[in-house]
Amino acid sequence: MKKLYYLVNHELKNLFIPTLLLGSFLIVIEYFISYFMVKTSYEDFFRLEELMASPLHILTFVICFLGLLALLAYNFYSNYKGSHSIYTLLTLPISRYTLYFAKLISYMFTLGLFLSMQLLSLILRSTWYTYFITHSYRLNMLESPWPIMENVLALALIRSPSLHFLLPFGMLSFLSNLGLFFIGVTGVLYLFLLERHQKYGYCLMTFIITISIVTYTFIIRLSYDMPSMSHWLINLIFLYTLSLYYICHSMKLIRQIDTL
Amino acid sequence: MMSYMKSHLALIIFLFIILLWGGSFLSLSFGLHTTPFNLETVTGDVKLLEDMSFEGCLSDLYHEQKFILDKGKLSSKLDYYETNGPNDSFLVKYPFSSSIVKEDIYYSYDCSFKNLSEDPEYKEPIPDSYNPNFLKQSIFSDEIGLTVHSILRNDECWGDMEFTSLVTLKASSPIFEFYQSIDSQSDYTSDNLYDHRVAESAQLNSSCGALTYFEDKIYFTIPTTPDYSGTNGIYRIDQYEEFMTSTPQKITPLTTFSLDNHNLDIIGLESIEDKLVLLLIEDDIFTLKIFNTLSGELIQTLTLPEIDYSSFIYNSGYSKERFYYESFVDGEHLNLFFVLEDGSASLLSFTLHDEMTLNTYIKKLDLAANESLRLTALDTYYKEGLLFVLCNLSEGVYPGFSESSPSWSPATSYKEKVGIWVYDARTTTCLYKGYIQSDMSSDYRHMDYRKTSSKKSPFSYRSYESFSIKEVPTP
Repeated sequence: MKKLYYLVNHELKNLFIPTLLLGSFLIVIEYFISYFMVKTSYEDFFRLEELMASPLHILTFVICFLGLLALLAYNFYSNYKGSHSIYTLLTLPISRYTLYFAKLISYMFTLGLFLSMQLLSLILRSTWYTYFITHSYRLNMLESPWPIMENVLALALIRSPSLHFLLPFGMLSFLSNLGLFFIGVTGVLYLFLLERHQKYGYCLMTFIITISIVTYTFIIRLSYDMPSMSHWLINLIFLYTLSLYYICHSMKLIRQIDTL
Repeated sequence: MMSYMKSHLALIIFLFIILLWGGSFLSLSFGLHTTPFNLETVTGDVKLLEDMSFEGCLSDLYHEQKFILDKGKLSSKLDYYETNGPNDSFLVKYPFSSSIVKEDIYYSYDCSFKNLSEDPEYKEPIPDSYNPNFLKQSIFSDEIGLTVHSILRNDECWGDMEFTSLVTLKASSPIFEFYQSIDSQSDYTSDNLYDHRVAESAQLNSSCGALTYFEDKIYFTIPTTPDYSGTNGIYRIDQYEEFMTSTPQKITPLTTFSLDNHNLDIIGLESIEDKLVLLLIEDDIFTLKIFNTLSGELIQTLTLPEIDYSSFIYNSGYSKERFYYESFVDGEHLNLFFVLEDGSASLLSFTLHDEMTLNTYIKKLDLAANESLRLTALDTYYKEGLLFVLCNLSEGVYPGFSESSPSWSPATSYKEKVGIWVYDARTTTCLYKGYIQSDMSSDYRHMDYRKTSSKKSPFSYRSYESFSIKEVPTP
């Protein structure tokens, strides 16, 4: 356990600062987008959830998320470049499984940190937005003042299906989010391992299946109607079964190779 | 210190994640479970409410926050839906004003007009004064027929009823108005005027009270104005035929009356206990006629010359409806809530023992002079000389909204609150007035109906619903 903890810390040393920078960059960009959207809007005022779900916000998030995936890929393949640290890792007196779980946990922490910074960004922007709306110069031009917004973040989170991906309000959403998180991290690591095994067909298939399930999850959760219980269950079964399969097969793959 | 942090990065990140997410969950749960409602007493003593329980909820597709004012104390309860919530039925949630919902079946009512003249006069199309992209064409006819449509539906069934009435328009020059796009080449020579707007001279009274329900049967009347002649009545719909079939449906006239002998304004039809109550203005007097539901026999005529009905006009922003009202029946009490032209409301409360009697007539609901509101009655309750009234008050807050010229439209942003009034039925004195305020202020942003209909669910916006006033049971 101590060795695993040490290895996780070792992996995080390379991932922590870039993730922090990426998350901070996204916070700043998102703030500026929100600011300019509200300032230049012809609409009277956006509701917070509408502001957060704007295409520009989604686009910047997707770009930064792809950046995070690139960082994970860089981290994984850097073991094979330069000093070829993979050989050092393989000669350590630890099992291959420990190596795999160290990678998996460090990637989970990295993704968790990135998403937490998004939550922080949401909290900061909602505070700013409430302040802005309450003190906006436009409000002073009205004959009767707008009432102060209350409970803005809570209501935005409860009413916006897209924000439920960040902070779920019910057990089913929570399990689905956790499933997405697991399938994301295990899938990425599984893809890297398949590529190292030069199983490109499997690689493509894994990519397509993972993207399909993630898309299905997004479709049912963002659709006009709320998902029915059967949709939730199918979705959860797919997410967890596939994550488990990725872990099991990854462990098998890591046992078979000489270099990770 | 730095080296310690470096060697425990996992722990630091783990703690950061746990603290941030856990803290967010806790603070938001606390925020949502803290009651968003507060009772603001304007006049009177809140002790007057102690014998009654007032309930309602603020809900959307995702959650509902129920408020309960019980024994004068306000509390709330939160329910969050992850799968389809109980409020996902559009029809039940947004019934049209001319409809009733009974036991999850929705009944709507509508009237259409038909030209019966063989030689109607068509005028040359002229540009519409409101929208220059449209042309308006008018048709003059000396004989206009009226057809009543009623539709029932729920998730499982759908039925249609069409009834050709014996009512005709007797105005000397009734006008129908056709609208078409300026680019359209349509030729409006059809004599079927369904789907086209009827000119103001041919309008009926509000059809809000035209339908009523008693023991699995639907009864209706036609809310005619004095401009109509022929025979009106109270009709019972015995069965709805399949939608879009030509099979004649069974409609039984319970009673009929001529529109030509008196100056009649038919307001609506209500059912209370086993009686049907026809509301009308007969020769300029507000009148209630009570009929036996089975035989259609006239039991009582209650004339109320003291009722000033001249301002019983509902201004929806687009059009004005005469005699728009909402009715509430609890046991032997019938309470009518008429919306007035200035946005306020009149209240009439009746009791049916052996005979129907007027308990109270509140000419105008107590509103502050500076309140520019739109009222919707939610429930009323009569108990031991006290009349309890629960209303929804919408206030326009759209930028540029002027109190002196309120302009309501679906695009108008608004904020809502719930008002409670208690009246002494005998003296019509307002004994208590209070508002239940909520955190709805963040809801009225972006209340643009075009966006709600095309881009997102209307249930993203909270609305007040499921109101009731009940007596608190005595131990």
